[in-house]
Amino acid sequence: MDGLLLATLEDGPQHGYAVKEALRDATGGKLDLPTGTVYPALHRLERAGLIKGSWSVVSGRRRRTYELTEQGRRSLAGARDHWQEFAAVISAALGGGPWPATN
Amino acid sequence: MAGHELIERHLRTLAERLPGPVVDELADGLLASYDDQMERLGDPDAAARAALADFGDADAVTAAFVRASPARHAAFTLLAAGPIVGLCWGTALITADGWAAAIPPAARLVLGLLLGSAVLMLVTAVREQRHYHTVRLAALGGAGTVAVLDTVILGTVVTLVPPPSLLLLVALTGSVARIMLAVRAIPALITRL
Repeated sequence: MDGLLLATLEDGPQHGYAVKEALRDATGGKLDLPTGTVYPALHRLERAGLIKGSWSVVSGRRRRTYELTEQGRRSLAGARDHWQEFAAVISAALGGGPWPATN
Repeated sequence: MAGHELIERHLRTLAERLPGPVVDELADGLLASYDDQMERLGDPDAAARAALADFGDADAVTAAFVRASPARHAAFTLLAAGPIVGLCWGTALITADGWAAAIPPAARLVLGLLLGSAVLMLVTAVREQRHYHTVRLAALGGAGTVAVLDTVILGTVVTLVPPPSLLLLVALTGSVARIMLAVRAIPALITRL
């Protein structure tokens, strides 16, 4: 979940609702989280130093926008590597092919 | 704030449960969703209902914030440390060479009250699901009470000058560690959402 949220911020800063929409669009609508529950996850990532939030005013409303930190970019790269390794192992097992070499 | 009565009511409920800046952020998201639904559906009532369905009910949203709150995590850590430190002190006192009997009744009463208060507040912080402020205050109160409790314990023991023993040293170390844990948690409980 953390990796998915971080991935939505890879191309630039987004506010909470836009993060949720980006996640839904990226998964073809298959992952459509309740908007209200995306925010606690973003706050947790911010406390962990993976994203950084800042306030602005848009259309008279206070808006908090998030962007990836360097630590967040490293975490996203790590999450991608782990997922690709995991997916390769499972694909090999399900497909009956040889197990991929591991480090 | 432009919107719909249903949206306003939902935000008022959230405002009773969550900190102001969090509600501002949620309001922005909910109103952005409402604007999107208005573009899609064209009808304010249908748009408000769709935006609220997409947003999640107040209980689910509040519970998600409470689960992720630093206050709840701090309370859980202190609560988990309680039986360990308690066991250390229990063993040290049971095996003590009589010095424990010299602890004044008033000190025992104060320690008992502090312990009961700390446990009550920390359990409240861990169990509460609907009121973020309550979780934060209970965790803050619990952490402060734990720090005072362990300080009183240390002060009482030092005053009695008991004979040194390994069990007593372990118990004292446990209390010092718990004071540090509580004191480190308190600033974050005050400043962080």
